[in-house]
Formats: sequence, structure tokens, C-alpha cells
Amino acid sequence: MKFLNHLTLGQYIPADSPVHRLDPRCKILSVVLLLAGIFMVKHPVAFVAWGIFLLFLSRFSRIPFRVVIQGARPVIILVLFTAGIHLFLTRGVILWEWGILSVTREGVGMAFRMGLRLFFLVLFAGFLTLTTSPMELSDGLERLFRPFQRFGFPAHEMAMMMTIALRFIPTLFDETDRILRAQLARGADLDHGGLLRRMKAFIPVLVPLFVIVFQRAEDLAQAMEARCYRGGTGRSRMNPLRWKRADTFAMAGTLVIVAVFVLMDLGA
Amino acid sequence: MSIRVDSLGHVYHPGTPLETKALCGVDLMVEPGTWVAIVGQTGSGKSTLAQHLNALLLPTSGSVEVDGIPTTAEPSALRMVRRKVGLVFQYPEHQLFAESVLEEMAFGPRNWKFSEEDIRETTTRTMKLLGLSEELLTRSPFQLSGGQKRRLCIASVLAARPDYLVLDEPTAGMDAPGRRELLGLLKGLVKERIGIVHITHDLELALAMAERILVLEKGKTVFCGTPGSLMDELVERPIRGLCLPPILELVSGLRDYGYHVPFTLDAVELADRLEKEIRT
Repeated sequence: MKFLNHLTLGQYIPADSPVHRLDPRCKILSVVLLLAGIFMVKHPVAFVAWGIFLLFLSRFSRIPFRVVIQGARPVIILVLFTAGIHLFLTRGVILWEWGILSVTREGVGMAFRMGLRLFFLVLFAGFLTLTTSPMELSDGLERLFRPFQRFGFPAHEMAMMMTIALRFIPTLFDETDRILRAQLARGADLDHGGLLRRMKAFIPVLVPLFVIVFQRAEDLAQAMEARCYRGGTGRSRMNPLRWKRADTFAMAGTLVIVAVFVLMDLGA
Repeated sequence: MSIRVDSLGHVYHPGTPLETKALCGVDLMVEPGTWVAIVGQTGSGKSTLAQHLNALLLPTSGSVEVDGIPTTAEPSALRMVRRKVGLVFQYPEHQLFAESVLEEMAFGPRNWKFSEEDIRETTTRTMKLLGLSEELLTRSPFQLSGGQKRRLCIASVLAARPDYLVLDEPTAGMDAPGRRELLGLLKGLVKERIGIVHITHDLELALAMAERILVLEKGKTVFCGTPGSLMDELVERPIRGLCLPPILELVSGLRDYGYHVPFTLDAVELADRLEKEIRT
């Protein structure tokens, strides 16, 4: 019996592919561009084009398409919910009516569009985490946000926090699993009764988990201080990020693809 | 009346790249009022076996029966088995959560639907049994000392009056006096007809405490028998995955030199026998 399944959202799958080797900054900026692109297109054909591009990316990065799609599973409900809201709340030519609920032609279009946009958004963003290790990701973010440090933005601290948070997700999962088992062994009943009862039943799991989290945070802080950590100023790196030719090409490629898709969509 | 483990096998994550055989063909019998030790190194499958004994894990092959009830996914059987077999995990103080020691103690019994009166009675009884004074009842469990916390956790499992108690490294991270005290308390439970399953990597501890020892190595049984026969075996040949305790190391060294000294954990006895050997 497994009591907790690890989240697939935001998982890194190591492989040796051209996409994996790209500079994280290049991948982050590309994803931002792609997301902007996804929200600028309206035409159904454009969404098919995004789908084809996604397939191509999955091939190129040696990540099975199945895995890519799996990553979107946790947000399916959110996608359906958004689509539903647009389906019922958009005004226009009424197709179907029942009491206060009405479906309009514009609503159907909007529901499809928003649902698909959200779906693609998650898939493309998923590609970033699938092909970039958490370490690289936070390095990339830190570097990208460094210019804002002048205005008091804590770029290094943010990146460090992110690295630590990501690093401890699996540890906390294991920890939760262990506490869960221990309380089950003491006869805890976690999946019966109403919502309130079930929430209350989780207190014996959550309290020890909080205690452990604070304890770990303190231990970690001490370990970092013992190794003379004192923030980002003057800190050098073991593997400095290097922007290569391939990154420039990838960046330019993304720009062209997004531009073509958006312009074609405007023309259609 | 006993826990019967019959050619138990367990596979983690079957059908995935992470598939691992944790247990393979393990047999074990635990009667009430006996102390059984399961010894093995890290990764030998001893914790996996422990979780089978109270149906937190279910067999992939073979079977586990507790007083005639097989462990299956069927909810009523699950609850019966968990009710009968108390399981104390390693570092159990990580599972403390209640506002007071009393509430912590009452958690198990309340889950098993004991009456309030019964809870009061069983709480005070087990507190006394584990040497925790009654004035602690209103304290926060987080204020207790390390040793007290450990004993409270064991008490909180015992409060539900299980017939068997499975303990995963109960003495881990404890100082010598605390260890001795705890082991003494557990020995007392055996006299109360509770069956104890003690999981440890400490062979010396197992030899000293248990009536029967099961040695696991990579999920397979490499030895099962009394401490005496285990020591006899160890004379003949080293058993995979077992390191001799220092005193037995010394004995086997002396025997190699031709002294006829017995395998014993008692240093005084060893010294006496050696003295006699040297005189004759």
C-alpha cells in the first residue's frame, strides 16, 4: 500500500538531449515567450499548431509524450472548471437555456479557447521543469532577476529559498508517509466521515509534520551558518551559467515560431 | 493464538523500474508472552516485515495471520489486526501531536472506541507500567525529556491493550541507562503475556533479550532459532550480514588459541571460565 503518490507536476526527468543542455535562462525566457504566444492566439488551427510543436519538443527533448501529458493531470479539474465558467457566463447568441443557465455560441468558443490555453500553458511550463533540474532553474531565475536587485529585489534570497523548498519536497513526502503510517497503526481513521471529520482526522498528521518542518529549518540554518553562508554577495559559483551559441539559436527559433503563429492567427 | 508468517514475500513498486524485492519466503511465529528479535542490516527487510505484522503492508505472496485473521485489504480484518498488534515505529517521538500527555495516550484507545472510563483506567495503568508519573498527564508531550517521550510513545500504543507489540529499534539514540530501563520495562510486558517483536541491528541486544531470533539478509531468512543455537552456528561459520559483538569476537579469538571458553555475553562468566582454563 502506498499512502501518498508523488506529484508529477514539476518533476525533473534527467536525460541527455539538446533541450536539457540549453542554458536555463534561455529555457525560462522561451517559456515566457511561448506562454505569451498561447494567450495571443484565438483560431482553432493555431491550437493544433501548438499541439504539433509540443509533439516536436517532446521528441527533441527525449521525454515521452505520455509523461508530458501526465504532468497536466493535476490541473485537469482547474481546466474543466475554467472552461465551464466561460461556457455558462459568456453573453451572446443563446444556443441552449435551462433556468438561469444558458449556453451561448460565444460561450462555447470561449470555453474551448480558455480550456485549451490553460492546458497548453501547463504543458509548456511543464517542459521547463521536466528538462531543467531545480538547481539550474533557480540559478537561471537568480541570474535573470539580478538586474532588479538594484531596486531592492532579493534575487539571490529568492533563488535560495526556491532551491531549498524544492529540495525538501521529497523529504517531506517521506516524512508525511511515515507519520501517516504511525497514526494508522494507532487506529487513526482518515477516510471516513464528512469533510469536517476528515479534516480533523488529519490533525495528528499535520502537527508532527509542522514540528519536523520547523526542526529541519533550524538544523539547516545552523548547518548553513556553520559553513559560513552569509547571503549572495561575493559568492562565487562552482558551475557558472554559460550562454552558448545553441541558446541564441533556440531563443531566436522560439521568437520566430511565436511571431509566425501570432501573425498567422491575426491574419486568419 | 499467535502471529503466523508463512513464506511471506513483498515487492515494492511492482511493474515499474523501481521494482524491488524486499522480502522473499520469510516464515515466523510469534506467541503471546515471548520475545522475538528480528536482526538484520539496513535494507535487509526488517522494517518491511514489521509493517506486515499489523497490516500496514499487505503480502505480495505468502500470508500473515494474526490469531487466525489473515491480513487482507478487507477493512474489518485490517482494523482487527491493527487493534491486536501495536506497532512502534523508529523514533516514535516524531509522531507526538496532542496538547497533553493524557490526550496523546487516549488517541489510540479513542480510535478503537474505548469508553471514557476505560480510557482513564488504561491510561493510568500503562503510564505506571512504563514508569511515567501521573503528574505528567496534563503536560504538553513536547515538554518531556527524550527518554520520557520515547516511553510515552510506547505507552500510547500499549494503552490500546494490544496482544502483540512490534518495536522498530526502540532503543535507537538512547543513552545506556535509558536503554537498560526501557528494555527492563519491555521484559515486564512479556510477563504480562504480550508478544514482543523487537527489530534491531544490534545482535548483542537480540542475543541478550530474545527467546527466538530471526536473521534477515536482503529479504531472505539466513537464520531462525534460539540465541543459544545462533551462537553455536556463529562458532561454526560466519552468518552473512552479521557482525559479532565484541565479547563474542573475543571468545572466538580465545578459542582459536585453544582455550575452551563458552560463547557467552556475560563478561564475568567469561573471566571465571578463562581463569579456570588457565589454572588447569
